[in-house]
Amino acid sequence: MNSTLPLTRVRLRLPWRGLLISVLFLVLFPLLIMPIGAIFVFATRDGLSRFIAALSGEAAQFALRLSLFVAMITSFLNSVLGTLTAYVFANYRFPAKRPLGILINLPVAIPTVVVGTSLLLLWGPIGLVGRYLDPLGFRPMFAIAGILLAHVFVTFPYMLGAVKPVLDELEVTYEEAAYTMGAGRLKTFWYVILPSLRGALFTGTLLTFAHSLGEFGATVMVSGNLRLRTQTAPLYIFSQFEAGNIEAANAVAAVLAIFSFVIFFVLLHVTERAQPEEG
Amino acid sequence: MSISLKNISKLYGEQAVVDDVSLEIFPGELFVLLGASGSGKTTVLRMIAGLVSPDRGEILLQERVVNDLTPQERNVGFVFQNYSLFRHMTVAENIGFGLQIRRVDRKAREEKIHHLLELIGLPGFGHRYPSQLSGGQQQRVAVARALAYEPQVLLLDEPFGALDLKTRMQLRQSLKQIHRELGVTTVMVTHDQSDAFELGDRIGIMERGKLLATGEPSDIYKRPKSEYVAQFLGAANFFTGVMQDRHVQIGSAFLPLPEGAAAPEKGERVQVLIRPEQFEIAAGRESLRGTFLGEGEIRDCLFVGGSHRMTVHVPGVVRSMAGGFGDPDPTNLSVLMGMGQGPYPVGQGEKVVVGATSFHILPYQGLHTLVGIDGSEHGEHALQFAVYLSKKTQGRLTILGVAERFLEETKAREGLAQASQAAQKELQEVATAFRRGHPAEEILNETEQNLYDLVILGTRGRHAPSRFLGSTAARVSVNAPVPTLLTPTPFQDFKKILVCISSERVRKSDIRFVGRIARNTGASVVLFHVSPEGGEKEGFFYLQQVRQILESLGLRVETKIGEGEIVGTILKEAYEGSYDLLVLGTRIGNLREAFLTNSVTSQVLSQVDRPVLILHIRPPM
Repeated sequence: MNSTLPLTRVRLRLPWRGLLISVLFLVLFPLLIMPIGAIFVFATRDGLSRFIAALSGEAAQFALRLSLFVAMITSFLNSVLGTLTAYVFANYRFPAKRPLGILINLPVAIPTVVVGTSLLLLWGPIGLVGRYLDPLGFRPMFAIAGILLAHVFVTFPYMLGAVKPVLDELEVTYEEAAYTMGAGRLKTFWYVILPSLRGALFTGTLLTFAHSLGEFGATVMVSGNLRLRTQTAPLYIFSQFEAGNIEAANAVAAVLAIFSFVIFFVLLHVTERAQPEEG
Repeated sequence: MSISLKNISKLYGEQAVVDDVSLEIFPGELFVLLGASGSGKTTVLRMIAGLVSPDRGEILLQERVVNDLTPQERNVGFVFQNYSLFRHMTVAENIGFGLQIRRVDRKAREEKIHHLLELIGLPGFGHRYPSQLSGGQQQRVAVARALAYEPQVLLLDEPFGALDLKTRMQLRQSLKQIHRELGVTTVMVTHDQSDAFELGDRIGIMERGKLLATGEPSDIYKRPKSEYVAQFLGAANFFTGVMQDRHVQIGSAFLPLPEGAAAPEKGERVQVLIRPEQFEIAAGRESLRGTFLGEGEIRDCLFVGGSHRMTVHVPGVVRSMAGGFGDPDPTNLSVLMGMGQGPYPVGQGEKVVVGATSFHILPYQGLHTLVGIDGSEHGEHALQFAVYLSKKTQGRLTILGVAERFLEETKAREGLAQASQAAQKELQEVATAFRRGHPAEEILNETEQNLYDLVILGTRGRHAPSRFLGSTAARVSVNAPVPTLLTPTPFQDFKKILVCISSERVRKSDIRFVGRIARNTGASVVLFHVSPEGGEKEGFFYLQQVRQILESLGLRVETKIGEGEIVGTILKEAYEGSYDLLVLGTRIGNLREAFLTNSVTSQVLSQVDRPVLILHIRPPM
């Protein structure tokens, strides 16, 4: 390295600095900030009473409740599945561990519509497995079970991504210490490992919850978008917008946006608080 | 409770990390297992705890075989090197964990925790979290946690590893006190000899998976059974002595054997160990209390608090190997004088007499040679040279195999086993070592971690592009702490040795080493100096010095002066004189200078088809 160069970056002269910051704002404003603002502007344009009325419609209520329900169940299922996967990966060697490790992160990369299609092709009435279940009266597609399948699939990597690094970081001797003190595998997991994962599980749950709440692509394929039966909040927004009921769509969109904000800020708070503790 | 290990071994792949260890630990004893990292000591500890199961042998706790018991069933306390305190639990919860698992009721649990917190000197710390404690405090909590459920055995893995000196000393005291109070059988693993000396009722020394010695600290220190053990436990001066009835002769000095000591036969060679504090320095011979060794001069004197650490140069008394306070010059003795011993000279350059108050005799050991093999014919040749030299010097041979990639490991190990079998037909002491990694790096690690006198490597010689030679052989010969013999040709006896002398100096110990080889193989020595046209006085003067050293070893030495371009002249002499071994010097540690530029050494090496012994040139002061 050339030691005669100063290590700090040369500060740009003022006109440049002002120009670049202005460009940044000009780009970010219409790209990120204005669209979010638009939802609230439209939702409340005709007064709060209209907003509340749009929200209290039967279909809107159902869609919001269904979305919350699905998000909760998905978070729960994935926290169990994700922890199990991370534990197995951290503790055991088994054949095909590496390819499987890559595969389980794949859902992030697959377009959600493709996920929906593939689930239909597997579980649908004429799908690979579905055609044998159909005569038995078991039809997971176009039902809440189908939505859950899709959501668990799509959000799986988020939980895993939160839990696995923490579990991998735990020293082996952590478990061994518990063993020498007389704790068996189960007790060790319950008293020693699981409590160490609390923070990660919380983060993973929030991420899963947020993604599940907004999931559209896969849901629209597997649910059939049946009003008052399988219509989640994002599907409701889309349907209402298409039908020209912009107000109804906006009201639910605003509620979803608020949920997301809350989750986002809780996450922000949690990660910011966790950092100094680590150091 | 007693612990006994009966011939336990643990293999990882084919490598024995613990190799046939048998050990008896008595009830209530504090036993310290001492060894360098990778010696297998931690694995032994983990086997006692049941965290690792032995591949062979039996582990007995209180005369009961526990091989098949899980860690949970063995009822041992284990303190991990990193403490492994549960971060989400408070100190009290951590300590109480073992009791909680054993379903001890809350009240009894709290009493026990309270008692333990007092014992470790942290009363009132129960509600804190581990992250709020210092390293030393965490360590104490880890000890308390391991003791809470009153285990029959307490096992500690490098318990003071990550702590500063002062904390270490405090914790040693505290551990000693706890042990005295509770009397629980304790095994501790450490690499630190002061831990071992201060704490151990008895200590065991491990190296490469083998338990080399066990006994009381002072006994092992004063009367070690091998040079490795002696060196591991502190600074040591070794000398080669010859038995003369009830005396050992070192150079011109005669040390009387203590009363009752078994005397080896007259004329037999022995190794003499004198610890720095067993030396004695005085202004005159009449004030010596021990046996007079020789007259010398203080080269260096360091006040180390209550005592002086000195380097004393005594011309007639030569150490047989590096050691002491790390001074490579064998005519410098490492001396430690305590201030309680009355007045003694301390000034640098002062003339003194040196005596020995006591000493210890070990069996003589010849050259310790390391040969690297790689499965090629060049490795084969190197091995033949190694066997030849070991045989001639009554020495020991270690054969090293290195596999760079995992897939090569099996093949390398097979080659190693074959080589070892072949060598064992001719030699008594053959050891093998296997390492995985970059060949040059692993050979260097091996030479640093163990005591060798010589490294032998096969090379492709003059048919190799110089870049190839630049890889393993070059790096090893430049960086190894000992001379390196590079063998590009099939084996041939050493009958004639050509020692090339430039004006740059090599270590005297290296010159003596060449002399030792010449003497043991019966080869004749020609000292060769090439002066560039015009001549250079200094080189010639140095030639005479080297000649004197070699002649003092009883060798007949011929000197030759060549003139002209250095490399060409050396090569010409090598061919015309039909020498069997060339000796060259190279700069220590400077690979670029030694090989990448066209130094004399690299040019000669890339063109010659004779074995070349490379000595180190001392870096200019």
